[in-house]
Amino acid sequence: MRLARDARLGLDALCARDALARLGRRLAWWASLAFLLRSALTLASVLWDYPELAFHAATLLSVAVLPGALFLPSRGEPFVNLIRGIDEHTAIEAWLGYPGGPAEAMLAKRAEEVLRVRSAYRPGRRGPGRGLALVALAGLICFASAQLLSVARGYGISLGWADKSAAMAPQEGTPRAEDGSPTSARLIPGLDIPERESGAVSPYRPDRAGDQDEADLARNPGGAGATPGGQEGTSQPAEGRTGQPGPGAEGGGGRVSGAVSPDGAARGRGTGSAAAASAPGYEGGGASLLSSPLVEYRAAFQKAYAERTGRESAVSGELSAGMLESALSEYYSSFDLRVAVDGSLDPGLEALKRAWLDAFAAGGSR
Amino acid sequence: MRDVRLAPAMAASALAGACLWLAARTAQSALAGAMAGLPDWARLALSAASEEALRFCLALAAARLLSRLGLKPRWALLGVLSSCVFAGIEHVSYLVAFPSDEIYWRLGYSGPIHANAAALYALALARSAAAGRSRVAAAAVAFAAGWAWHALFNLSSALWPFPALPALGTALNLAATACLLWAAERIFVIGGFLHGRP
Repeated sequence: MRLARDARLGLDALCARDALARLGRRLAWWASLAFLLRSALTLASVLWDYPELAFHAATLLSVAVLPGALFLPSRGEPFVNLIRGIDEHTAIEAWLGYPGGPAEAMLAKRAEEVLRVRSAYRPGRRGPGRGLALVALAGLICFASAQLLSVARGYGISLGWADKSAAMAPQEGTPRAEDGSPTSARLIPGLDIPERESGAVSPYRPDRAGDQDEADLARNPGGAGATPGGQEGTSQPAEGRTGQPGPGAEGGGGRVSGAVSPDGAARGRGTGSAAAASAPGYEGGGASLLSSPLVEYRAAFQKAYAERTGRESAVSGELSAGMLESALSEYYSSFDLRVAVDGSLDPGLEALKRAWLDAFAAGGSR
Repeated sequence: MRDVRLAPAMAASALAGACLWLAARTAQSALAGAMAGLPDWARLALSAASEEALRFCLALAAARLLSRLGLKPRWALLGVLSSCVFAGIEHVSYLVAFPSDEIYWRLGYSGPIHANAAALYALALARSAAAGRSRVAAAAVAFAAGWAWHALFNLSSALWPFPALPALGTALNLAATACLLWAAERIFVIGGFLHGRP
């Protein structure tokens, strides 16, 4: 004998709610464990260099087992527990367990009555459980640690495998000392220099190829996308992803792809973007106009410093006026004074000095 | 009927999934020479058939083992976990061969095919055993359905691809998973107590 339709629907609703609650718990466990694994992998990628392939492989495996978690067999008898939760007098159990006989109609009637009354039964909401909460908490801690470390190390927010290319790019372009160690000399020790100034798009190169780059850039004062042909193919995709010059932009002839520094630092001696330049001291036009002449002096100083010492340097835009003045005065100080301090004079240098004085002495010191 | 300890059972299932993958690779390598002259669609269909046959054999072995050990038939669902491990290893092998973000579509398009087939076999074998009917008809229908679904997805992706295919395949697979989950609930959780009475 079958139950009445409304009682049967009530039983189905009870079973569906119970099943959904069980599936929800399994889903929560799987999501927490997968989140913990992914966060741990991200943290590991920030701390150590391991193949990106391993990160994606572990992610694929963790997601692939989701159906296995959902279909995991239940322990015990969840349906019996559900029925016993609403049926104190075992009316439903008696009907379910009855193999068939004269009492079936009576047992079915009692079971239907219970189901009509209790079909809206909702088992009390249970918390996530201590184990699940611990797993979720561990995942959150791993995630937060990964993000903090990633940002601190200059990789930015790393929601997946930490992409270190952006942070590595300036180091690749940094000139090296004779012993091979990076010599990113900062004029002001301890002063944090923004990444863009510290070399990511720094046009200052100790090699002479940089002059040709500057000339090329000057011929195209549009700024962004001014990379000469031949290098675009390799540098553009990397920029599109990270917003930083890619490896191709850093290697080879030291091309600077993408945005030209708006402070006009890409301009060189006498070749500035100044097709329209007519007055002395005026270099550039349009978007490359400088906001402050001091920036241009800093750029000239940095460039000359790098060319002469073979060490790249950058002066922060936040340099105090006093420190900047001392740096500039040090650089532009009298040539005579420097030579006089030095005891041993180079004959060639002496001849050059004499020729310089002969040529420009009438015009006074510059 | 006895319950089993969950952790060792899951570990054994995962190991079985890895062995299943190795067996499938071996079988397909062995069949590669024989299938060399066949058209593409036939090779794809036979490749799917070899995988499904091995999966079905695993489901049969699991059902027999559970019966012999006097364990509850619901533990046959651990075959789904084996197939998930199988699918996971397959995903990784594709990732190594074709490293691309597109590989993540396999999680919806390809992975559930394996899991759904394993669930279907476990349900069919348990259902026929509970009803006292011959297992042959139910097993044959389940195997045909699992193989047809697998072959259809393989053929679609290889021979008739279109932009919406990964999303469509994922949606179809998830719908099938939902139906199988409900069927598993009816047969293994409710049916275990009601004996199919409602």
